[in-house]
Amino acid sequence: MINKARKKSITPPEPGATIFRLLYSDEFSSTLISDIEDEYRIIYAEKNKYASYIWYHHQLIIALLSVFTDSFYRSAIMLKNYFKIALRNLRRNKVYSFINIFGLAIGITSSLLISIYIFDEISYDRFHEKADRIYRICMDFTGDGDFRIHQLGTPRILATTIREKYPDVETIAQLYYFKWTLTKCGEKAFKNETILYTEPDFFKVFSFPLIKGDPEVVLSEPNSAVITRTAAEKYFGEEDPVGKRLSILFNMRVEFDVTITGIVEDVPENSHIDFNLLVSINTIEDSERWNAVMSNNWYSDQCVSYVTLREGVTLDRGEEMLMEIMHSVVPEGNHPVWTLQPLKDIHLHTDLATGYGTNGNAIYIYLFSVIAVLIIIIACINFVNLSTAISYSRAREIGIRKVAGSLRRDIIKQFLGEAVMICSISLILALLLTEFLLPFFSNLVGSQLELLYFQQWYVIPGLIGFVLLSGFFAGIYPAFFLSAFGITEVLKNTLSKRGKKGLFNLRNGLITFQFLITAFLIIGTMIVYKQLDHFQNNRLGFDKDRILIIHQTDALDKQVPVLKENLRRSPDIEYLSSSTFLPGYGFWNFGVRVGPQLIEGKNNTLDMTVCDHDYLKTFNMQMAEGRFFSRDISTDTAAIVINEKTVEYFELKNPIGKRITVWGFNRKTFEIIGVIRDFHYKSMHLPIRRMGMTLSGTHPHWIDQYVSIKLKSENISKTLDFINNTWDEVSPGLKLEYTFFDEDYDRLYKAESLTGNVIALFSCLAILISIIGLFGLTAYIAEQKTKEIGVRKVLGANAISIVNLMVKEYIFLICIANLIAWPAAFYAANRWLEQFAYKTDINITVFIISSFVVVLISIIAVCFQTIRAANTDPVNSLRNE
Amino acid sequence: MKLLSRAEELVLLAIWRLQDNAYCVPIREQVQDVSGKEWTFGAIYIPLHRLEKKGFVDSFMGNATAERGGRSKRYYKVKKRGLQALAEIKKVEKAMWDGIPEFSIE
Repeated sequence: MINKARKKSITPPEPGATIFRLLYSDEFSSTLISDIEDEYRIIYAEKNKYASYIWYHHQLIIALLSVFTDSFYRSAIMLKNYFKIALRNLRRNKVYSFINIFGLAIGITSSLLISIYIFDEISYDRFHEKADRIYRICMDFTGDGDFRIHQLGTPRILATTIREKYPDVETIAQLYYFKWTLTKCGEKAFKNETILYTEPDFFKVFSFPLIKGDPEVVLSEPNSAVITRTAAEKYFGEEDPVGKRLSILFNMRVEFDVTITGIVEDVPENSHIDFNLLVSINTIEDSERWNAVMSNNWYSDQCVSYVTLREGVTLDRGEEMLMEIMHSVVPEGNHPVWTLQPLKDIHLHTDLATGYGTNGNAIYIYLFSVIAVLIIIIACINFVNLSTAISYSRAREIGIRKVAGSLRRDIIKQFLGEAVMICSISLILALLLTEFLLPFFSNLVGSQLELLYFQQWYVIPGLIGFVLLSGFFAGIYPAFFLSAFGITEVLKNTLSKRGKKGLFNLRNGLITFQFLITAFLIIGTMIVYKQLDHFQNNRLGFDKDRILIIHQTDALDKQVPVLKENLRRSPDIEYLSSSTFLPGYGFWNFGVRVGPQLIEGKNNTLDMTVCDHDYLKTFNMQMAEGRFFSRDISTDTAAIVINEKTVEYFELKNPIGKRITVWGFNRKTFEIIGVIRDFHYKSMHLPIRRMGMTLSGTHPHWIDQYVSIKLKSENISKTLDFINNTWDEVSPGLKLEYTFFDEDYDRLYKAESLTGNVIALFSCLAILISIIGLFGLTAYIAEQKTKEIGVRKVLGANAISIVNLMVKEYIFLICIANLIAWPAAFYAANRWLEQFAYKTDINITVFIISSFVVVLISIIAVCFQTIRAANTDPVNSLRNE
Repeated sequence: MKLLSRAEELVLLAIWRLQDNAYCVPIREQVQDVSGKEWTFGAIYIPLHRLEKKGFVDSFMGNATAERGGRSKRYYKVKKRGLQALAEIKKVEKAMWDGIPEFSIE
């Protein structure tokens, strides 16, 4: 037969053999292939080409399978044994297994929840195709004194200039946003839709997919609009919206129509740009009546600009270009600086006063990541402590394994494998827990979170990697510790219980570390809550209780005084006041001249609001000097009330009667009639600055947006009905929108209360994990010491001294942990508080209280088992029949 | 008693029978002839490999031949331990079959 093969030389099919060699290669594999090829040639000669071809590959596949099953089978025998022993051990020590698995599961769940949140936060704006090359233009201007403008406004003309002269920019798209509008479609009317005015290049910069319409065309004509899918359903129901018309009442004054030219997919949750409707920007420019809104000069700042730089163009080059443009406009002197902010940084790294929507904050991302890691560490420490403690009961198993030929390496592998197995069980449990808890957690952090296993490639490998990693960290020490047992020691039962003596062994170190983290988190939580409380109850300078706010009163236009007059009739309303701004939300900044001329080197601006005569009484603010506006004095339309900071800053000796000119109020000059005590008209994050108030009607464009009503404490629901009816009488078909001021105010500090809640939740989990770990450990040790306790009792020890004996070491450790946690927490808390202009003071009581709580809970956990052990009848533990 | 699986036993015997021409291709033919079944190369290769690891056979590379594309064959030779194992197996087999009443399979 072999002779036949020599007749021709036939080359066998190469690819199969190549793949085979890739998958399996040792010194024999190549001869195996040549052997198969020998036979192949014979078959090729005898039969046809295809049959031999099939035969050849069949042989290769079978050979490969045999090689693999053979090697797997040999290792599987041991694996099966390891698995069996691991399960037996889990079953034998039910309590400890439960503590291990449950503790790890809670730890993993916490980390998972936090990770989901973090991944959601950092996923912002990354869905745009060109996300790497998109930048937002910011403007930074520093002037005299503490004057600084840091904002997004850019002139409309910038886009034209860049398009014409700067080829480094691939595309530029500008957005104009104005909040106060009324959108009508037949009978349906909606207030304050998020409408963005933009240009066709919007779709070149961003990847918002159009369902209908051509992105080149949809926004090119004036009065055209693109609507999102959901908004289209809201306005037009099932009908095709393309070609339909909407009417928009801009700033509740200027009305125009738009025709729908396209439908766009809803904006994803993780986009910092949000809109329901896109209107072509040329709708609101190029005409007389829009001159006030969209002027075409270099000093206007209505638009937000986004640019896509060409591939290879750096951020520095882009900023250089912007600087060139700025120099061509303002050749010398102090000029603003335009900077580029990468799109991906916008959500987490924005510290601008203006911006669309709420921002995330990178600090919290770091903070939460640290917490996630800390919790996993705590859970792993439990595992390490419990497994080393229980290990003595497995000493014999290790001895026998070594006698039977196991190397130390094999035993390390076995125990690491066991740790990974326990982690896997915990992970499965954790995934179930996460599914269950995610809705609650989403609610807590205020964003819609989901765990999607298959949408992102990294989820499943990440989870597997996570299990391997935590299994490794939890198992590495027990594995080395256990594998080091000497055979003879173990089998002769002379194993000294190493690591048990002395205070400074590893286990004590780990317990200390664990409680250090726990105490740190608890102190942190208390300080965050204290700061929150500080926001709520610090001397704000105004009241926020029992105040109802009616929003959007500017929609009533001239009817506001009528509404106020009608409302005053109710006996259940104490005071009411209309204004453009509410305290706590910040006022608008205006250039002013205090006295006859500008004061050199000072920031000549005031934060301004416009309000009516009862603002002071409604919010219960206090005057420091002079008087507030009065109905009886008609000249009060040219009067201004300033705060104490203004007096201080501009060094006004006798402020009453002095004059202030406000540029933005048509250069009107006001006389100071009073000084109001400083109140937090801005967010508590920022210091109180110079502030001024004038009467409604003094600003050319401002109409009061809010009516604030101080209610009496009785008959609230009746008063609500009354307010509702009164509103309906004067409103042009809009529904009443109201909120309670204290709730609004709390919402201002959402980020802080979110942090507070999340940290509180995870500190509780951390302490829970630490405590069950400690509980398990002491329970195990108490069980081990039953004989010792019995002997001691027989010799006359009482229960208290026995508990004392067992507990004091741990309590000592926990106290030390707390003491170390103090400076660490103090440092961290100070860093966190830095961001607030007004911070709570950190005093020692916070530390003492939280440490007391930690110590108390741990004493309870430790004593629970030891007291039981101490109270057992020595007869039971000593009898040995 | 040296432990051998049936496959190993068959392969070992085939090597001994082939003497100087014992490489994978004839070994497989030999085993197929004796057992009357089709054996894949993989099925031969595993016991061969295992026999070598256990120290029952030795392998060495033959001369390169043109029709194998310049690659040489791996020849196998039974070692002394292998012969002892065979002898032992034969002894056990013989002992097992001795004095067994005649039977026939219908």
